[in-house]
Amino acid sequence: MSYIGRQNLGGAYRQLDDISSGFDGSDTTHTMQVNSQNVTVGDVNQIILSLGGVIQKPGTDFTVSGSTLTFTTAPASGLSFFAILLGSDNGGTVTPTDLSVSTSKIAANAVTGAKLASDIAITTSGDVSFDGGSFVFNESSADKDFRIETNGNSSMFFVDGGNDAVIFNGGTSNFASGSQVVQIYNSGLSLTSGYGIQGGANADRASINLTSGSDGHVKFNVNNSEVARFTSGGLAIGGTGSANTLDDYEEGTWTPSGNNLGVATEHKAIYRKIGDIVVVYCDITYNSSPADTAQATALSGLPFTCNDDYFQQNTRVATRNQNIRANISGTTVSFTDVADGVIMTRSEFAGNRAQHLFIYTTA
Amino acid sequence: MAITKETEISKIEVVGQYKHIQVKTDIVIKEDDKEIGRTAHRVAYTPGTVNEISGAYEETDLSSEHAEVQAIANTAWTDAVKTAWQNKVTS
Repeated sequence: MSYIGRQNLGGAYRQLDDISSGFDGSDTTHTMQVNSQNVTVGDVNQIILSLGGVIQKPGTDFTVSGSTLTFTTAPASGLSFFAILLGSDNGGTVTPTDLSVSTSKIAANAVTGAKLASDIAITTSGDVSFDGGSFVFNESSADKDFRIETNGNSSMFFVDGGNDAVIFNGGTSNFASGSQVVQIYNSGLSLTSGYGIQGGANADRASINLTSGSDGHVKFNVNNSEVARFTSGGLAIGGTGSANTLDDYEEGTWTPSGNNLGVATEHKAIYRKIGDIVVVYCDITYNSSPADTAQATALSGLPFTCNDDYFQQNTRVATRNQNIRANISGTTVSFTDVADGVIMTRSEFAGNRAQHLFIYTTA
Repeated sequence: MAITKETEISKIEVVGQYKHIQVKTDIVIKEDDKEIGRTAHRVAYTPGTVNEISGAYEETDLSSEHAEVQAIANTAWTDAVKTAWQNKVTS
């Protein structure tokens, strides 16, 4: 059968404890209780009250204030009493029936953190998502840890609040006793300053330490010992001074040329610069003319200027069965027959294919 | 699909007491204007050289080189520098 009129609303419909034992014809105030617990109502009209079998008019025959019920006329001793507290949503406080409050009955933004239990476990099978503003954990900056578990790892991601460390695959920031973990941390843990990424355990741990301040280096540690670092001067290995620092590496090509004989074909011409050491190689075919006796076979076009004079015998010229010494100076190289000390002539180089390897230092 | 090759000077260095000029040029290979390769090419210049045949000292001619290189040479290769270098290679 359908319901005519306003729908019944949820809430508790409770009977007050009998207070008739306190009726004495002079006492007008009594305490409202349900199951011996004080109760209140928001509005006096939420009470249906009977005295001696006669329904009393709310607000006229009685009023309420908090849990105090006040009769206009003190009930006489022996009068019967009953009263029902009615649930309602049109003003006043209602105690809803257990498990009866649905989501739609709660106002938006009404549930504050203070209303949540101190320990909350979300165990539903659905997803939990956040799509609001910033999500801040531990906004009070206290020593609070944060961790994420994976299947089989209770601390796959661990924020150690007390040590300012982020740890992967481990719940401890103490590497001296920790398991295989990777750690991003501030100073004060296993390294002395700055930030770093550290993995491994005990004496086998490896780390990259980003030091701060004037040091400002990137240090690489293997088995808990430094093996190399990047400084403003370059890559330092075996020490941190300039003698142990590689400040430059470069590779590329160059164009060998000759002012007097010249190069007909460049088959290959490459260089490698490691620090201030330059290694230059070329495979060329010299022009076939002029093939005269002029001592004019120098090569030029070196990729880096030579900061000293170097003499080397790493030259092979096709058809020449001679031990040829190269003199590297500035950006040019001249060639001499070691046997007689005479500068090579154009006729000896002309039309020949040659391979040269020069090693020298540069400024 | 168009393959192109471009060159651009990436570094010009003036080194040493004789102000030798080292020029690094990047060779950039592009496919449809997208870079797919880059290599370095180097050349170095001194203020002058000794002609192997005549034995005469000749100042380096940079007139066919990049304007930036010429400008730097004009500044770095002062008369004092050129004289010092000439004395070194002819002595």
